Amino acid sequence: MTTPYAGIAANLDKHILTAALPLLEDGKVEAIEWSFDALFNHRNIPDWFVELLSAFAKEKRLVGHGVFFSIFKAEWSPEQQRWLDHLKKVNNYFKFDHVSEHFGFMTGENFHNGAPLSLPLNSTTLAIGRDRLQRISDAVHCPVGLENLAFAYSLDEVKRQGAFLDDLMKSVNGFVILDLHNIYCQAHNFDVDPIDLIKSYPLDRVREVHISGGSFVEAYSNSNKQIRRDTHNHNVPQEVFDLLPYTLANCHNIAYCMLEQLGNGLVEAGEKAQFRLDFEQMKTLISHNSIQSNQYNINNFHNSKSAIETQPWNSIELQVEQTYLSNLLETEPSIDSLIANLKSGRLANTDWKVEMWDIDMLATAHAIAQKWK
Amino acid sequence: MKLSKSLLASMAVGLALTTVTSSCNSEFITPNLEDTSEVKEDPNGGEGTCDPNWEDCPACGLG
Repeated sequence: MTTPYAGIAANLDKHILTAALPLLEDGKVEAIEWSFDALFNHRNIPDWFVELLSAFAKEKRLVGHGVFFSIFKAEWSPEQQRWLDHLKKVNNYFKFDHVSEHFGFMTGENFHNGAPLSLPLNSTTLAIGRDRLQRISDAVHCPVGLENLAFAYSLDEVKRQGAFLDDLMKSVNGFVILDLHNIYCQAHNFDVDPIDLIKSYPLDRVREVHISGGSFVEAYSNSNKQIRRDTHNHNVPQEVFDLLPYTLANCHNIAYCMLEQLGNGLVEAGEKAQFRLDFEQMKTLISHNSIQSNQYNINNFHNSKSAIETQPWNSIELQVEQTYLSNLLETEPSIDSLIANLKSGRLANTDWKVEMWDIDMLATAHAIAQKWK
Repeated sequence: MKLSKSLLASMAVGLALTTVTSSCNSEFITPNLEDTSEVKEDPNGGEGTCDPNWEDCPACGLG
């Protein structure tokens, strides 16, 4: 492994790009991650933005990061096919070094209005995930990966996500994006050691690391407790930086470390300055902690399988359950009524394990779904 | 990574002039996937908006 590139998540956003411009001018940004499906409500996409992406793409330092595919949506949808067709077209132009998406499924009837939430980790979701990953791989012919999810309903789910991701990604020789802020969220929300949590992931599959900030919200059950959310709207907390040295030292296939922050947290000059300081700190940690690994351990994450099933893998039963859960989260007026419905409804005593769900995380999911509906 | 001075200059000018924000009020732009490219005039006199059509968008659909 060579030293990972220090990059930024850059979309066509005035605040993000203004914050990053001094870093770009100094030649410090080594890679860009672009959310190719987070489109822009503007007619005129400036040539300089395409030129910026092209400059990094030419050096094989542009990676694509999807947001809206909803990889575990149980019933294949026309919108997913359009997403895939769009990705293929964009990739034909830019030739991403790799392409990634998020673990989980999106709430919401409308494909693009939702938030990623977790799901039962069983053979059905594994089959659906493998089918979708193979379709992405077939569309781009470059390494394909998934990012660990910040959200979880239960400690059991937190503990199992890493092994499940490993099973899933093996099918396409895919990689994992280890988002350290997501790890921090889970560690905080379920009171576990973040390093133990990192160890539960397939570290030899980590090709990209994310660091970002987020926010705290008051827990539903206890006003003295706070739930950490991955809102990307603040600077990187020191607790997240503290996880980077261990990660760099133990993940021998890391190619990229990306700083993510949304434009709504980069409006003021001080916020922009802090963004640049965060980038510098990330870059310093990379240079001090990256190790040269044994060449035999290197994984190029190329997928040797090329054939995909003609018909996408579907599970009507799971689709009904996902729709049911989305509807409950979006429409139930209170947490009490939500819990009552979950305990007596179709998800009771199933692989969803709703009986184990943490009430504060359920309330958080309710808030996320209400926000995005 | 070094970028050309002309690109950096274009960016600086473009960012000074633009109002483009992809994430001011929501965490991600959530595009309307209706297959139309009808352009709507911006009542505030800005660049105007459109229902995104990936086929026509140089940054998205590269059409």
